[in-house]
Amino acid sequence: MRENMTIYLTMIRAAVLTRLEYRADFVMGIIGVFILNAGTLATSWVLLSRFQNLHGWTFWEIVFLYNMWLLGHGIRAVFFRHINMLEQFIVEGTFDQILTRPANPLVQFLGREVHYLGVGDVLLSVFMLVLAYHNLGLNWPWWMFGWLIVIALSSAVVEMAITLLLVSTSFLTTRSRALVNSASLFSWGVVQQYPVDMFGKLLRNIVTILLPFAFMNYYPSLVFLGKQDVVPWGFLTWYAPVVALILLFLAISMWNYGIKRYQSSGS
Amino acid sequence: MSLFWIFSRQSFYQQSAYRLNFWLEIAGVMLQIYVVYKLWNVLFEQTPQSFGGVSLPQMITYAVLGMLIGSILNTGEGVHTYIQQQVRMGQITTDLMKPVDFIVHMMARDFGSMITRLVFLLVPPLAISYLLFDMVIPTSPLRIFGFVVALAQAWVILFFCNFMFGLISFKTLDLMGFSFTYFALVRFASGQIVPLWMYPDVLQPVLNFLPFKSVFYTPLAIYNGVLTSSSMWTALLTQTAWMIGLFVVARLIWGRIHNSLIVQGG
Amino acid sequence: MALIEVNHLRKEFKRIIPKTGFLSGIRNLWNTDTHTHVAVDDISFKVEEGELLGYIGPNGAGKSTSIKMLTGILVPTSGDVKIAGLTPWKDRRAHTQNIGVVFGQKTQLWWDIPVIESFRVLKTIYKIPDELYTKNLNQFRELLELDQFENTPVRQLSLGQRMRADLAAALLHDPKILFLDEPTIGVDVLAKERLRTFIKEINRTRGVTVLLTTHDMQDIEKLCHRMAIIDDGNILYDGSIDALKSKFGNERTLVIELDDAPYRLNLPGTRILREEGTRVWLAFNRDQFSASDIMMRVAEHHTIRDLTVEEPEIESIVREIYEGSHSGRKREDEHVPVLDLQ
Ligand SMILES: Nc1ncnc2c1ncn2[C@@H]1O[C@H](COP(=O)(O)OP(=O)(O)OP(=O)(O)O)[C@@H](O)[C@H]1O
Ligand SMILES: [Mg+2]
Repeated sequence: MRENMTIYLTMIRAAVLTRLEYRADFVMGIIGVFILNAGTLATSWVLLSRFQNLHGWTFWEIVFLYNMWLLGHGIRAVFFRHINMLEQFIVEGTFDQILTRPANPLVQFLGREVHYLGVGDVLLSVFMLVLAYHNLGLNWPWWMFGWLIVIALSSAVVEMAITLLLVSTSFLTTRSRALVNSASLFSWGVVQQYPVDMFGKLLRNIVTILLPFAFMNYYPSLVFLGKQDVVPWGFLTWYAPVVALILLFLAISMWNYGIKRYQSSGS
Repeated sequence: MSLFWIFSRQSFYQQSAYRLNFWLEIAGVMLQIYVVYKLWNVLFEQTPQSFGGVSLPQMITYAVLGMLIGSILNTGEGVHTYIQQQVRMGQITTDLMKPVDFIVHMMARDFGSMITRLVFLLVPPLAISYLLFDMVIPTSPLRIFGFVVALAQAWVILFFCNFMFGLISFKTLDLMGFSFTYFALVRFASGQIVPLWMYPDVLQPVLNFLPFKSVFYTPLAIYNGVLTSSSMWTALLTQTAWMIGLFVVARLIWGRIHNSLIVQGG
Repeated sequence: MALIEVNHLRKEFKRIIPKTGFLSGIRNLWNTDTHTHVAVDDISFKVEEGELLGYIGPNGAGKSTSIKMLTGILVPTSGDVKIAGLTPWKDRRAHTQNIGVVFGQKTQLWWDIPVIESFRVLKTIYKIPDELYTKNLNQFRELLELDQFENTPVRQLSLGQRMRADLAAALLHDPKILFLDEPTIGVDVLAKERLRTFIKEINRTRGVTVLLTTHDMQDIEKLCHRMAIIDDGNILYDGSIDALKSKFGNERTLVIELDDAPYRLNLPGTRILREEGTRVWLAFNRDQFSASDIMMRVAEHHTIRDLTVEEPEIESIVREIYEGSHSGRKREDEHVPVLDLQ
């Protein structure tokens, strides 16, 4: 464990040095991220300034929901954005090199890159969460802020683990991009900006059980916004970190299985 | 003109080659349709009076079609991403050496991919949506005619917008940062997700000032019957004006870039 | 016991055979018809410690696939490999500490950061002690002139420099064995010479066992004590280069420059390979004749100005072996297209 951590950190250092080579993109990228998210929020604003609420969620509650998602997404984007590109790593032979080294392949793969766009996501989401907190007149007990940090990390893990799980199919088929893209639609197309309770049972179950993206923002938000008694599944609000750990376990198992298959099939 | 078809057909075949992607993409489109369907149903149940006389089927039709047209007239990938790629790889000169006008060539490529997407990504999900949901069908021939013309003009307008946006890459090589902005702007100002009549009054002058209203709002509002007779003709003529205006500007800008490219030797 | 022992190694790849014809696109979505392609058929050999083995063969012969099995990247379909007592794919971690690998086609360094930074990462990954790291680095700086470019990002290096950096990277942790898959690909003549000198030096002074693949026969001639020729996944020849020459190359060439060209004779036991200006190339079997026999017989009719005897070139011998191996059987899978499932 300790050894893996040392290796991971050394590799991250190299990855940061790599990014610094492309400093010019940094500012443009961050601004772009701000505008992109502002655009989505503006649409919600237009909608809610006309309809007051969406299935019982006010504009600022939606802002909170959205930025909970963005925070987790941003953290994962900083460190694990490249897991979507496993396919390329395999095709280009980078993965073969990883296998010729004595360190754990997953650690080597995860430590390979960092990305600055996520930094914009994180900054914006923290700012917007503070705004939402004030506009909603929330008043949390102190431990709730600690819980928010736990949730932010667990959201990042949820998204990362689901992606890793799906992308590990690259080891079997070399093509996983389309699959990952479609699955992530349940993330940015569904749970990101809509309260899950407005959808039918099937979709709710998909984002809770099959591709549990709803644990990135919807379920955790229930307790932050004092909504856990409004819906019958309010108790799930506490389970996000557990779900994250289970997903991580599944993802690592799938990864290990995938590597075995890769080593014997070569594709 | 026959060259136009050659480039179009090539682009059609390239796109229809991705098989597995096709099924997954259809599934993705259906998911998005379900999401907007549910969204408007919920809102309509809550406060039907906020819709200002527009019926639920009309609204669903707008939203579903908006989603689908969004997948054929899109800002995520198109002539601008192509230009950027070619510029970055230093291959734009091979395009310039082709015996066709660059703009015509780009339009042909874009047309091919638009038609592919229309056939594969618009028609099947639209048919399924009609089976599943209560949606309006434009019955009057005039409205159908208006919609088809509006859609065609919308494609041309978005093409020129994308084209000019792509030209930025001649200056910057990279569009990354800008493309987020562009993407967000078009999505917000075109009324693809929320119809423009629902936007607050303060925003209306700005929306009218941008060409994006003509891209999504006009065909959609004609289809679902919000724009009728005289307002329809006004909207169509506005589109035509935008089309011509953008064409002239695009030509001018391209002419300049082209000249400077020749001078610098690529 | 030999350092590397390979026994009946075999690797098959499964490929999906695409459907053609009616609705092929749709039928391919659940198509599972596979075709088994044998990349490595049945390979056995031993390498002793300190040997320098050249591994050659035409494109698609199975060289890279063999190396991937020996380095633990791929698990073979059947057969066994023991390297320093370990099975590469089973004891992958321990095994990787014993080996250094360079794939000439692709750098193993971080593309955008200075070479020295990549080395630092490798130091951590391989847990190289400080003194060893410094010692090795200093030695490579000297031998490979790394200091010229160690602070330059890899993407800005020339191919020759990149190869030097890659070689150093593969040797930092003092591996017992070095696997080089086309280490001289795309490198100019001078830089090649330098890489060869380095490999030789490392082999001599550190006793590193080297297994390298190449398409350049010069690499083999200048470097290797021994070579293995492989085609269609089987070993066609395994032995020293001199032995290969005497086994297959019993033809010698006599190059004669005449004062009274053109050459008019037709001596039994010789073959005219080519004539150019005043010179003529005569091939003869050296088991039947000696060069002086032929020279004397020519001198009876011509005035000889100058003459040299050419050894058979390894290149042409190898070419003959490749051709021989192909003429016999048809490659069974030549027309099987590969399905791209995207
Ligand atoms: N992952 C794979 N899946 C399917 N077939 C493969 C795979 N890797 C290699 N092959 C096939 O195995 C055969 C041997 O390939 P290999 O790369 O070992 O050849 P090579 O001797 O290294 O050739 P070259 O000199 O061109 O590098 C080839 O026919 C190749 O197409
Ligand atoms: Mg090879």
